[in-house]
Amino acid sequence: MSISSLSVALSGLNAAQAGIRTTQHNISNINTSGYRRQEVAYTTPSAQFTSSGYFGSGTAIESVRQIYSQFLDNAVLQNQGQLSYYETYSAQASQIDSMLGDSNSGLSKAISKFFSASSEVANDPTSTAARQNLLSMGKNLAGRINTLDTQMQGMLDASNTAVTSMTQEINVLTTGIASLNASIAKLEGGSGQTANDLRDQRDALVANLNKLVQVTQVQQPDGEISLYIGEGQTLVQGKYAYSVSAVTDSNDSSLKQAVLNIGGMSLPLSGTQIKGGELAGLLAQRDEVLLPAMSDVTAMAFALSSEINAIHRNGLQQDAATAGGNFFTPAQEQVGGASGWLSLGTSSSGSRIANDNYSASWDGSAFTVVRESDGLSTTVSAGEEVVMDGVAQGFSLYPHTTFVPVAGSGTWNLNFKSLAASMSMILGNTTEVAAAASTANGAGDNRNALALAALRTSRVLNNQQSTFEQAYQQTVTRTANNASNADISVSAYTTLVDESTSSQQGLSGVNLDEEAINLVRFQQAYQASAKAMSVASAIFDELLGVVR
Amino acid sequence: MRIDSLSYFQSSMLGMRDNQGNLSRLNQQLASGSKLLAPKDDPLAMEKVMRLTSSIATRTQFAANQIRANLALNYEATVVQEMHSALNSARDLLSISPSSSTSLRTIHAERLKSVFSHLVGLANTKDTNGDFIFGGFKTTLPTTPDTGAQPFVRTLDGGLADTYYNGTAYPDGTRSIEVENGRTVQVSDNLAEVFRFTDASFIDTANGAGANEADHDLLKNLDHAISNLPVGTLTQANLNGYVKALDQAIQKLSQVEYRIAGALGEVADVKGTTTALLLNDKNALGEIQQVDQEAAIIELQTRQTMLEASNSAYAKTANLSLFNFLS
Repeated sequence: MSISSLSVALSGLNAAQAGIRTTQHNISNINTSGYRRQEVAYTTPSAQFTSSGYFGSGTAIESVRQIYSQFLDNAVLQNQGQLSYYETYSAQASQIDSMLGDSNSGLSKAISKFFSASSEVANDPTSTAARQNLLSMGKNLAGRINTLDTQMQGMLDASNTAVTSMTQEINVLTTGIASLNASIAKLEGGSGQTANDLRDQRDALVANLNKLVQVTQVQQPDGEISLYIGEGQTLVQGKYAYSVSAVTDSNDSSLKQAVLNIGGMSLPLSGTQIKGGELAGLLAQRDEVLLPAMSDVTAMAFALSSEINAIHRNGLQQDAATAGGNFFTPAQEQVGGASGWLSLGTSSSGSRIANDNYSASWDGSAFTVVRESDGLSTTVSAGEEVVMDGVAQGFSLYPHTTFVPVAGSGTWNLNFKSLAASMSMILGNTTEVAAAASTANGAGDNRNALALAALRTSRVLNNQQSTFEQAYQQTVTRTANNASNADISVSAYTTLVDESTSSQQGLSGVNLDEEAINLVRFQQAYQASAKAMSVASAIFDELLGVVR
Repeated sequence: MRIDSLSYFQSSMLGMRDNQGNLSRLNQQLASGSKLLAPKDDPLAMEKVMRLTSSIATRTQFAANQIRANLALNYEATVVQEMHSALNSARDLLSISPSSSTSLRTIHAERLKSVFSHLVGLANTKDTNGDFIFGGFKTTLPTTPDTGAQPFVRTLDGGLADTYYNGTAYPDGTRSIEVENGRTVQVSDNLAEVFRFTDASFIDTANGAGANEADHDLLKNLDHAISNLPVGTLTQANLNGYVKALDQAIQKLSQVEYRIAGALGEVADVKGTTTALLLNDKNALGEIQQVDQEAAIIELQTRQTMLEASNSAYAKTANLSLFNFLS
């Protein structure tokens, strides 16, 4: 009886020690991310039967368990994936937004100043100062377009690099999760106990992975988890992780595309497959903000160069004899006796203008467009989007309303490729400004300068719906709307992440005051058990004394 | 409610983060004077701002063009007015009887000489840039012996050669300035027709006596009158012919004056509209863009108080721990 009372006291000592140890473990991990507080689950072992009844045999430790709720954990994951998505989107879009909208780096002022300078030349066609001012403003306009394009090209390069580095990071994480899955399955296998700290480690990896690409996790009976992305594509299945990699986009060689490699197949991860996480935010921002803005700047460069050159070439220089040349790097060139010019129309599919050159001919009712890089050819009517090999090229064509193209008169080279990056002013001398009309007989003629200044209010962009400035305003407004929506979502998901994290941590997080109380509680339990042991020992001693 | 210790610490941090963000934003707004720090702050307002800014830039240029048009027209009006009175003086001087005394005719001839050179000078007027204003598009002319480097070339020699005109042929060579969207105003005139009109209805073939009285070349007529008036060979018909040529020139010049007056009126009208619209645009832009200083400063103070409250709440609660009370 006494021996067993010693063992009852001992079980209490052990239990209190286990409690203290777990409390210490909790306190030590207060700052560990992904840590869930643990507690010891006690149970009473089967009682000893005597004729007097059942006597309890102390306490036993059933398990050390984590306190968590899968529901709350999933809510945090879900919100965090969305927050990462919008944070990435917003950070990138905001950069473009302030770049386009800023009065120093944007195009609005440069366009406006160029046409004001044209007006001043019209007011005073013989003034060298006015002509010089127009040249300066032309140079400034081309320079602004170059700068915008360079900046955005830089962002595109950075986003390509980011896609590559994110896919590498995803692979590191999925491999880690798969190997933890293996360890957990091995440790837990059949014991009925959970490998709490390994699970915490794995959850921390899942949280990190989820920030990059939103995942759905499904618990398997053996302690493993499977992770799915997008519309149920498997990323991790038990011990196996499928790799993702960055490859060149098949439709656009300037873009990197993330693909999931499953069984020798490459599944592209586009915006429809992945809807949360930094990678998705980056790709969505690239497709919705960066690429359209770059395309708009290219269209702007093309239209500015085409329209200004067409008018400028139609006039005479200051000597009233020499024909005006190209003002800017020509976006359009007449080849083989082509007469008149073409106007740029928009894309009906919303595709961006491909970075390629084309040549076009006009038979009076349709354009035949040939792509320079591969010689593919297609025939489109006025305003119909050019499509090559099933891929929309991001533009349509119209016959110019003022300089009407003569049917069958030749071809026009359309130089979109690197136009925005390389556009520059060609005129070098004030006398080369063609302020005079082609019928002029003196330097005082300002009719061509008037025509140039009138371009400011001509609707030449967006299928002859917008002026240059209006078209640019639309680009800025669209970018601003996207950035603003992303900002709103960032604040919404910040609140949601804060709230869901606070609920989740409210359950699973460590509270030091609580641990202090537990510490005191277990300490007192330990002291009480120790006392019980000394009582048992004293009884035993007494008994020995009687015998002696 | 159970709360974990990390969240407990972070709850003050969230408040401080939001308040600091707001304070920094208000500071930027106050420093820049603009409510919109980036287009994304308010895409709708930014769209209006850009539209107004572009409209203001366009109208400002039109306003500059109007001033320019006004200057050119006023300058021309002054010269044309001078020309008009010179033509009237010439008409008065030629309204004498062919039988008046030699000395009177000589005096008139001498005075006509000065009127003649004044007229030639006026016809070859240059603007402040040194450009001829009546030479059409030929605002500058090369100095060659043939052309004399001026639009109207005529020296007093009594000869019967036509006045030499170097400018742009009538009616071309008039310059226009855009004063409003799509609206241009003519700011110069071609005076070739005043001095040497080609209008057949003005050529009086019935009065065929003498060499030049029926000629449509005003300066040639004056030159001829100056040479022949002192000599006494002129008939009344000759003198009538000169006066008729002057009348026709005055009539032509009056048409130019009416046109200038009309153009000046048009520019003044357009200018009124442009100024009013420019003011409207600027007011609207100010309302959208400019930060309301008073409201912003009050908000700044409120936010500051809130941040101080968060800070002090953190400071007061940060050290609370049960461990402090357990010995």
